[in-house]
Amino acid sequence: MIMENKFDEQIKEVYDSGQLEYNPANWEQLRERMNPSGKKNNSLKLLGLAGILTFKKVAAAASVLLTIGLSANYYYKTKHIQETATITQTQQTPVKPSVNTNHTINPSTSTPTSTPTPLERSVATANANKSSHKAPHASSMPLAEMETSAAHTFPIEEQLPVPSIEEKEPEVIASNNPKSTKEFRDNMLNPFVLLPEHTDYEKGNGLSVLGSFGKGTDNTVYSAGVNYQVDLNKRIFVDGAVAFYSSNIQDGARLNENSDTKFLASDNGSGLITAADIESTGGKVMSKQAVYAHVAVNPTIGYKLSKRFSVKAGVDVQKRIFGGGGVSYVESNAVYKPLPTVDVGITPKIGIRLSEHWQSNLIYRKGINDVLSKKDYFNRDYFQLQLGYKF
Amino acid sequence: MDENGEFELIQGCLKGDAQSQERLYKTHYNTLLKICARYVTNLTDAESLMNDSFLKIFSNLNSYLGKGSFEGWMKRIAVNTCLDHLRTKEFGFSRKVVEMKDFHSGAGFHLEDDIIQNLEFNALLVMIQALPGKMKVVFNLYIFENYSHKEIGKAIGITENTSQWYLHQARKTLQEKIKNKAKLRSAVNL
Repeated sequence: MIMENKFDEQIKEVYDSGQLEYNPANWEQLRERMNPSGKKNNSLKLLGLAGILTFKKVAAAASVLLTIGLSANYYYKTKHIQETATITQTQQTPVKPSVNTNHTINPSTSTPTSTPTPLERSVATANANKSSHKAPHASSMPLAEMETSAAHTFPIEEQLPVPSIEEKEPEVIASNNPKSTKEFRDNMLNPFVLLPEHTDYEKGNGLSVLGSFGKGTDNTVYSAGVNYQVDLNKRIFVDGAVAFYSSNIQDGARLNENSDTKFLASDNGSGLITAADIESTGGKVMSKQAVYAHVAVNPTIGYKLSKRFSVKAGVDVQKRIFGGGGVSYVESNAVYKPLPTVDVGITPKIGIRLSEHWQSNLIYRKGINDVLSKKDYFNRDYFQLQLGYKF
Repeated sequence: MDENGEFELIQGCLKGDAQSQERLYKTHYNTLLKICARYVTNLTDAESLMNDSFLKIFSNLNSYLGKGSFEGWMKRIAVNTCLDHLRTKEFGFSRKVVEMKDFHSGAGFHLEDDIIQNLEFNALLVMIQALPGKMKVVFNLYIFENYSHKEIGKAIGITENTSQWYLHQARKTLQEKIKNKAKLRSAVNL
């Protein structure tokens, strides 16, 4: 714009000649805002997360993860202790070493045929105490022993053989349900051990329904969908999810159908597109949030670290099905970038099996639209907490 | 700063080097603070806007493609940051259609040389800051950022005529204030 009068030139000259004193406190404030933890987040920068994550967000995500893990561990540990106590109690039931005794192992079915004498009672007590010292605790028993634990449940009989007129087979743990085996219960304590393949609990095969909430710097997402998982072997699996997403994107601008070319032509080449440029195309600037809906397909391959934890990686392809009506742009760091109709991202995940039916996933969704296309598209990046129920 | 030095500084900032960031900050501190100071009414707000601008610059440095002046790119971010701030705090995007005569010509506004020579930067800044909201924005965008009235209209949601009218009023107000201050000064000197 040509300076049209001397007054404007005079004002500009006086203003340009002036100086404002440097205040180092301002730099300190900015430095803290850029790096709240006071340390360089080099690892985050390497991942391309700088500017998206803050220390607080990472801490919050870690807290959620830790809480879920500890809660699940506490639940199963409590359950195990209760069941172990029941077993120990059963083992400590005195057995009468008498030829006249109808020797019964299961206390619930024990039917003594004669009343024990004081001497018999003392012998039984001594044997019971001996038994309680020598009987290995379930949690300390090696796996090989546990597989044949039924034979070792009552060492009294082996150490103090008593001629028996009538012996009954042990009835303890007589169940076909693999979840009721001691092996299953003991391994439940260790989240870093895979269960044997025969336990359905370990397997993820099947259909699940999913719901999730995600939050990023510029957008918030809610989703609902279904997922189907197939185990390729004991550790590796693939799954595929189809979900509907509702995305609230901040500082979005929606332009008319025919304004795209004109809009892009107004770019000054620096990559910076102003609100004025958007307005010049007839676009309506959204100062708050623009709502979009996507349908997403998310194929994933995963690796089970243990019965409870798994790591996964997938590709997230989302097709915008609502909120189009022209070309949409999103403001990010003073730059308006177009929002792609087909939005592609990568999704590293941590899967946590909470119970037989419930599973959660902590997902980081990183948009890669600008990598796939020459156009500098807006990338939707967010953390997502997903909860699924497996049928 | 020469082009090579600037390039190295940008590369350092892209790598997250704190020293490079601080050097860039110090180098352009005055320029950006002076821009921000014109759009608000006090230096504290201006410093806050300047830091917002630098934050956007640092986090968006990889989108600077090297086309055009780097300082120009930063200035534009600072101006946009100020406009965004005013847009949310002081005025919306409502378009007001005002039919008025053409105020485009700046003829008639002039300050004598002695008045200009005695005009201090700080005094001028205070006068600009004291201009009413949109009048101040129009004046700044037109005089300092070289926006056309059409661009100003689109940026803050007014018509070209209204922009011209605001500019006319701003020039008139400033000229009166500057002249009054000069009169006051000469009266004190007498």
